[in-house]
Amino acid sequence: MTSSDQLVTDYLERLSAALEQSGVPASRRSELVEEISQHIEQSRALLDRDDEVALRGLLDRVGPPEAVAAEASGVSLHRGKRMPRRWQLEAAGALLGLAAIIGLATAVATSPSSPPSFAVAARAPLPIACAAIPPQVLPAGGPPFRRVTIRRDGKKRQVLVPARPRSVHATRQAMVCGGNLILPGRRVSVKIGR
Amino acid sequence: MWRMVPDADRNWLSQVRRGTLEYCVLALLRSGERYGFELVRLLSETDGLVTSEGTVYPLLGRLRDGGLVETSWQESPQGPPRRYYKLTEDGALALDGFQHQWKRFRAAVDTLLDGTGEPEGGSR
Repeated sequence: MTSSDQLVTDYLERLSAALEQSGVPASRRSELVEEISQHIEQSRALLDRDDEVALRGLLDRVGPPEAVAAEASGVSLHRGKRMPRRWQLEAAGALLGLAAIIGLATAVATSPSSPPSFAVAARAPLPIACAAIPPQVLPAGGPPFRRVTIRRDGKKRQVLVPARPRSVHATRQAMVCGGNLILPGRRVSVKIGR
Repeated sequence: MWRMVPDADRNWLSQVRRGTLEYCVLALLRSGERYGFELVRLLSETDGLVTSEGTVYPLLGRLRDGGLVETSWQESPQGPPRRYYKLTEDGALALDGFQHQWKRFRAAVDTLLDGTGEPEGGSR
């Protein structure tokens, strides 16, 4: 094994250790090590010269193993904060779902003319609660999205909403909290199904 | 002195980069599927977008988990099989939404920075 090969082996060992230390699951860990190993090999094949100096430069571009591990585990090195885990998102969703039920029940009780499937929640705290969700509650990778047709101002239109309505997710066009679709600028909740 | 506090300077850039990189990946996949190394190289060649190439791979995994891209293994003309990434319908919708909002955001910031007037809706 050349000293260059040893550099790559050492890097990949440090990467694997950093991933493990960051709590990245074993299956994802081995996948990432394999992908980055291939990346290094492919980058190495493009080098003008395969000496230690060039290889060190290449590994610098790949980045410190700790930075890759931080990205994989959702920790921002810059802010030192951990991105929310799925259970935290679901817990936030459940809490806001509860607020939704209370809010919609209040709205329906105080607006007898409203059809039950389209409750005008003028007094409901839900949109305010949704507006107060800090951005870091939203997942960094973004949720899957889908189109939902709604009727607004007497016209049909499509909005892009997250695919998992029971979670707390948002797009610029709409927000979903606890199974309710929230449209920005209006205190209107539209009950949507799964 | 025109510079902000250095830490704050790096912070906003880091946040913008973090928030937009995944959509840049989706944008690269709009024209067709690409494999991981190809995506990372293209992103790295875009000035200031990627500081550590290795950090793109976890992001690709998150996009796949989120259903915005799908992957498939394909034989390579040289070396081991490659994992190819392809934009899904959900990914295309997310990208369209981002592109629309990004243009509005960029125009609003440019308006303020250039001092050419108040941004749309700014007189409320």
